Amino acid sequence: MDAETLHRWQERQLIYQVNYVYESSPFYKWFYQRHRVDIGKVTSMEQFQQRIPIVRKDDLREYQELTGDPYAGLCCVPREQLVHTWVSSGTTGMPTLGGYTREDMAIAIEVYARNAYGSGLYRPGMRMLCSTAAWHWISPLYWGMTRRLGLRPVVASFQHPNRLERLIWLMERFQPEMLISVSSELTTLIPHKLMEMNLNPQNVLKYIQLVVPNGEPLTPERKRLIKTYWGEHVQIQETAGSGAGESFAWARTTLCPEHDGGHLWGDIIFPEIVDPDTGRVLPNGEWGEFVSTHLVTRGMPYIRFGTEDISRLLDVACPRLAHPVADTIIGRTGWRAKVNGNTIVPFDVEVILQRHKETEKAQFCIRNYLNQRSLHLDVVYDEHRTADPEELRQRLIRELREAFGVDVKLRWVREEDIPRHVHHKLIKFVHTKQDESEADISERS
Amino acid sequence: MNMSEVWQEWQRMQWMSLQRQFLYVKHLSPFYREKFRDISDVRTPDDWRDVPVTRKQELTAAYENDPDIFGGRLCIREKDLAYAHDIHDPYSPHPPLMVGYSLTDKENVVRYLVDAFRAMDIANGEVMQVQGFNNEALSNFCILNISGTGSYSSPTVTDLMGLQTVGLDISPREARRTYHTAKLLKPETILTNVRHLRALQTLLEQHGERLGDLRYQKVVLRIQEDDEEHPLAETRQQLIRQGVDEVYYLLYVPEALLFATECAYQDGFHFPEEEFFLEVTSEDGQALPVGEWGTLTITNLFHAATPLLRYQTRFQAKLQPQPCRCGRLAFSIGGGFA
Repeated sequence: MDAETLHRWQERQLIYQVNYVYESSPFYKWFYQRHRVDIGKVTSMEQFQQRIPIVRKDDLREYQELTGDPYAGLCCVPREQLVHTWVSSGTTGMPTLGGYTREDMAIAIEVYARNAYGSGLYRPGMRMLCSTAAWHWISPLYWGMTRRLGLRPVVASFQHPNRLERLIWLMERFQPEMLISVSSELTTLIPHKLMEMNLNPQNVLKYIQLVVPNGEPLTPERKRLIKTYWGEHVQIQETAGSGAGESFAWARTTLCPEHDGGHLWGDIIFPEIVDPDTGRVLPNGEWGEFVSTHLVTRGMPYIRFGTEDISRLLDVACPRLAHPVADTIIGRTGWRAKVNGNTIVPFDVEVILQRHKETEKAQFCIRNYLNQRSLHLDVVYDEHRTADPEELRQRLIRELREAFGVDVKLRWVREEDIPRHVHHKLIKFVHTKQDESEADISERS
Repeated sequence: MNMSEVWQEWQRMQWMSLQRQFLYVKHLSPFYREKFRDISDVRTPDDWRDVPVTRKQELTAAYENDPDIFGGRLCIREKDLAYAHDIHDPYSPHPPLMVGYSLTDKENVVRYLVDAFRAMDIANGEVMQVQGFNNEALSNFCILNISGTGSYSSPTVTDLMGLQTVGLDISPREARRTYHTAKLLKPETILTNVRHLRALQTLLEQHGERLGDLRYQKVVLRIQEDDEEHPLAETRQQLIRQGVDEVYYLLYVPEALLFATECAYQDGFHFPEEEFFLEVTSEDGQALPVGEWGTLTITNLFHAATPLLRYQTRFQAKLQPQPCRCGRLAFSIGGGFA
């Protein structure tokens, strides 16, 4: 599909979908009437971007509370047609429900299969070790992709730092060529555990050709560490940052050998990047909130849904595909610490922590205070690799100060002091809702 | 015909399948070839008594001899495996026990699970919370989790019964998600275990609520070998006092793909009689008569991928000497569950 055909397709589908959801979904009818949207006037892509308001999770929660509808009024088909209902991870608040019709699931699997095959890294017969959670929306998609591509799968226990030995045992025995849905934290913890067991990581992990981390965006340092510990030959297919998985499922990028960033399938979703504070559509190259519109979904379509993920679209003239190109996701819009006019996201902190072997696991949390004049960090250091914690603390503070131009308050904490949403996800940002002047910033460890 | 004769009659009917399964595993599984090296065939029911039982420790010890993940138990080509996973048991020793199944294995289980669900009065179209782990047969056969859609796999219980299921993690720390989805979806049934239910009850107490406020009509409680033991009848009464209409138990031995369930009369566990050969054995593996307590021992007659023969579980059980009012064979479990 060339760029012009793709544009025509997107425009036609955008108009169609807006009319479809207005007629079929109680939420969209309520939402558009509330925003006085005249659906009849949405006749072009420009009109769509000007007239259709961005849907936020809070809008869905408000509608859910108003009506008691478990699907927040998004369902455009009778509920019996939803073959799978799942719950969000609750990363950004109270869990929400999502659902697939059989056809929608086939489309989502199509996205995954295209991404996998198109990357050139998946081929029939490859052995795959996969660990996803029972409730997770991604499970059936990986599985459909697996069957479609003829991979050989083993499902492992759900990933958790305390189940590393089991995962390592499986890797030694099964010798998988791909490791799917491993948390970015585990990509560092696995080689560390191997070294603790007096095993050479590269010997155990030598079969792995492809790592597909989930959960959080990978910093360049994390990618470098994967290459260092897992082997230079290992390819990393980044899929992280699916904060609003239900909408982003359709928007996974595929690697492209021609350029940085990955392609989004423009015949399935329409991507935009907007200013998270004003909603203004940003040009390619600028970082902002990723907003997603489903072009073909029938069950629970998301139309101009604010994913809360921070990313950017890239201006790339790819010789292979006309589909839009997106950069990596570097954080969430709600996870921005503002200190003396500077905006800092966990991704920025992680990059610096991973430069130091004592903190390369990057287990940390930003504590956000009202009226703060310093960046507040809780950080875990590796006891086996740290000779002088105070010296390390001063070193990190110096580097963080230089990078962000703000005062930094860093305290050491234990690993269990860093909160987790779910087993595999650290909470790297906490709004304390306290004024900085009243905060207790004493050291815990 | 007394009940003892009924069991014997059933065992006679299973005889052909038993012989076939014995030859199947002996020829295709390196683990069983070695284990049964002194037994050429089982020609009579008396020969069956000489077949040694299989214990969990043997299965994990076999990893020493066989470098694959199944310890030499895989009977089909690896590429024909639809699924393989470790048994998700947080208390089990390392290394984990693995189970694999083909699509035909899955179809068999799904078919008999549908019968079991119907016997527990679960109706087509019901909304149901199914709690489990991704790496286990029960949730994967019930919901469309890794089983995929009809285009990529055979149907699940959800498909065949038109249920509206929501898959949830059974870990107690996930009780919050169970609570919220119950509030949103108002499910008629929850399939869970006692540990999770207790965590849910604690959460409910914090909200000033009790289990009855979630309006479950049915609670189906899974029981696994390593679960915390609790007296079944007492737990059932406690839950009913808290406002649940009905409580059923589902006994689950994942490595043998056995799901034994109660019927509406709740007088013992039923199992798919055509798919399994069940015995109660003494510690040394001798079959015990109907009505005597011993160890539940399972032979799976349909499992093609990683079958188990005379697998001695850790459940104390007895084959019931009285017929269930529904007319099916049943067994009871004892020990800490009595």
